[in-house]
Amino acid sequence: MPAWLVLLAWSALLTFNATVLIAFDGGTLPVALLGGAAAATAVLAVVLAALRTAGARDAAPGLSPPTALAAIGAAGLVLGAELGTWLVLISAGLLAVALAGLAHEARRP
Amino acid sequence: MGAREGRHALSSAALAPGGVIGLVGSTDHKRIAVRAAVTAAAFFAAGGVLALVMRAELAQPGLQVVSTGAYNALFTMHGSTMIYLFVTPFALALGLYFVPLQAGAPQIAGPRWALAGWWLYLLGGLVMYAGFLTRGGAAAATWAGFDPLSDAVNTPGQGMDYWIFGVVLATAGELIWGACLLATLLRRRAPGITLLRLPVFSWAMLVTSLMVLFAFPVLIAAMALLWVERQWGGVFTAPDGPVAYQHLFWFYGHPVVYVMFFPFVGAVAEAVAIFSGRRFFGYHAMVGSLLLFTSLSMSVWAHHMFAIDEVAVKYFSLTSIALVVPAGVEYFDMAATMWGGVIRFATPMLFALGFLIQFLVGGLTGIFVGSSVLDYHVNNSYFVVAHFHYTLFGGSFFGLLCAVYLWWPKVTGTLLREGIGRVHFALSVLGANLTFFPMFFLGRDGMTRRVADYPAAEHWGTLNAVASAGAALIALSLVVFVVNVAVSLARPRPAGDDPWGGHSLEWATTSPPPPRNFVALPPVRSPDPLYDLLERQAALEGRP
Amino acid sequence: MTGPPALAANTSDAYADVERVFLPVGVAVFVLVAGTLLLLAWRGRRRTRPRSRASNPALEGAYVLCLAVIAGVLVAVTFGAEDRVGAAETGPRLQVRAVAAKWRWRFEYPAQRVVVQGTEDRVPALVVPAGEEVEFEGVSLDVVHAFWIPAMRFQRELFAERPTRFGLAFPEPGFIAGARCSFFCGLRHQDMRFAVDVRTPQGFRAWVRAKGGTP
Repeated sequence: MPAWLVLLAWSALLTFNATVLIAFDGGTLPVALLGGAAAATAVLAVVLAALRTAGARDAAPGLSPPTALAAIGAAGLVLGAELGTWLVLISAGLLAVALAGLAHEARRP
Repeated sequence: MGAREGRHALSSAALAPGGVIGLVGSTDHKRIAVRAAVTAAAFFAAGGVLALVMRAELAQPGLQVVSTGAYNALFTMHGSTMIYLFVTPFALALGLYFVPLQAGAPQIAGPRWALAGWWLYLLGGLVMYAGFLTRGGAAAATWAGFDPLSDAVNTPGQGMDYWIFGVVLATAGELIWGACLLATLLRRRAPGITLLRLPVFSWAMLVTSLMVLFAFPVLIAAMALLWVERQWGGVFTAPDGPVAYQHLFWFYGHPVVYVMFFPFVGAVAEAVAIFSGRRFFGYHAMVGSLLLFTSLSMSVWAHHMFAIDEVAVKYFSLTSIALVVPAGVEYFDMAATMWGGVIRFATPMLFALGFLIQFLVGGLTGIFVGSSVLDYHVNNSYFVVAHFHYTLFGGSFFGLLCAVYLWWPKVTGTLLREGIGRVHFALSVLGANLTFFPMFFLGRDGMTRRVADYPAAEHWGTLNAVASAGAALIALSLVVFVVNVAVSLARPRPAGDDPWGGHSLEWATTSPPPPRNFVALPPVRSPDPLYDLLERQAALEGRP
Repeated sequence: MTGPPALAANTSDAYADVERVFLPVGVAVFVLVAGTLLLLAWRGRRRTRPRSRASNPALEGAYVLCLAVIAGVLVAVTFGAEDRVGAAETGPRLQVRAVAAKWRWRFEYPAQRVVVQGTEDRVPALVVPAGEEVEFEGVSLDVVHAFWIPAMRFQRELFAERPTRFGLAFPEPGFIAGARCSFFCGLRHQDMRFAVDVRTPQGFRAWVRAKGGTP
């Protein structure tokens, strides 16, 4: 059973449920939510079917401190919306350093 | 095995060569999973303390322990902790550890993404709890953050904002994990391991990942909109804004409870098969029911909104009651696996049986509240509180303990004590049922939820006292579990590769597995490759 | 914005009719399934050789059909009662406006020009006549509240600027305690209670007159 078929099957089930919801006068937002999930799953199924070959094996190193820093920076960036520009700036800096570190990881064989 | 070897086993499982950097930066999916599980356990302890304070308050009518405002923050943070910060991440962590192993893969897909996911989850939890340090206290608008209660007019203060960001960050981390798991299952299986040769647990993680991927983003969107509402208003405007919020929230809020269920039903399926000495019965039916169950779970959310005019009540009642079909198939397969099996009552099997029977109570009462007419009465009452604690505590949490007792040897290379395990089990069953069964009667009698106190004239004191006593027993059972962990680590007994006679690939490697998981893979022609090997071996030796 | 008023028959009867089916079915299923699991676990202790058959599509298919039939019955019972809860009655009805605000109830009788307001010290009594359908329009002045009368087995969420209409019939005169808000609405949610005072039709008119209204 190919992977994309599983997703397509699940999407078909969601589509069926969304259709029945329309028959029951579900309302715009509910139909949009359920139909949206059905459509998104179908899109992922198509993408998977198109990606014939298995993905390139991860060349991730055993330790990746830049990843941790990137996550912290991203979190701080988001939190800065609440706590203030100072956090946005600091986090942007951390994120920049982290991305540089990740690029360095990518370059090493 | 001596104490030193025991500590080494634990350190190689959880810590890293590389010291602190290894602790925070390792991309090994097994170490990330253990870190996530330990983080989740810490949040569980916090959420559990909150629950104990709540039960202390409710044991008798009158406000004895906390103020009403404090109580409202307690139940908000209790629910938020258990859902966003404990059961969901722990369930996904089980997958992070065992999905690559069961799929014969050397690593998870996107290991750095998985690492980033842990950081986001951890930071989200800390940010949420930072609310307690703000002047207005932690969020107190329920774990769902209903608008307009959660808007800036009705819940001013930074605690609520921190809660929003906590939810966003933790959910983002969990979303990333869902993507890693799905990618691993769909694209990183070892050659020869087709989808229909994946064990039941891996299929459970697959459908879990689908729900994570397509429901969790809606929560993040709802939280972002709520934050905008709090800053500038104009998002969830009357008359229909609050209803729209509930649709957005529950579109996530229902699938998440299934995310908190399926990994554990998968673990229970593994345990039932192993400790019945049989292949899991009805594998294809089980796979089909997992797909049907989860697609239905995406389609029932407005049963939380039956009491709202203009919701398509009949549709959501229909889909909710329809859940009995795939659920019944799963129970049939569990029972059929046990039928004609050679049953061993090891601790994982005890918790598996506890899960099956207690989740049954939760599931059947779920069908009860799935009927709109019945829900018009018991919605938001203690009947519902009892229902979801039976599914999530009597069910998922027992399933979690089944998974822990089952896979602890694989993760640590040591064994948990069976004797202490039985005491843990017995106290857990007693505590769980004593706490939550009385709540069915309280709810049906008219006790609504989210109340710090109730009138003495209603005569609810006795049942509440019983429930609070049960909660104390649950706490005691957890102390026993901690003792089991401590004893098993202090005086470790070596587990070996396969202490139980497992069926799936994780048992075909060392305990704990080496960094790239396998030295060599056995042939895989079914979901139970090790069971196949045993059968072939027996045939060769002329044994029946 | 909302459609024609959703009107109700005796809601506690509707609930009882559905529970009468769901509860025994639930208990029976629980006893059957739990009993089976425990029995199998117990019998399995004594076995030495496991059975080897790992599937039985015919049996499983038949079982799925049984489950579907049970689900169908439960859905049909629910839909039937749901239609009765939505059944319209004819004739003039008493109209009551239930207003929810943090953290009190107010009941307005527009035609009779009477208002009952809950206060800090006193929970308001919703006075209604027995034996006839009362049409409610529920609304909130702020956050989401819910109007719940446990004795009538009925609740509805109330929103600001979005009237929620429902009808209730109170069969017998008497005093009903325990009605309350059932949607968490903030600090004093647990105090947001009301009582229901069901009077005979004559008693109701007398009450209206005593409140200075026009019966």
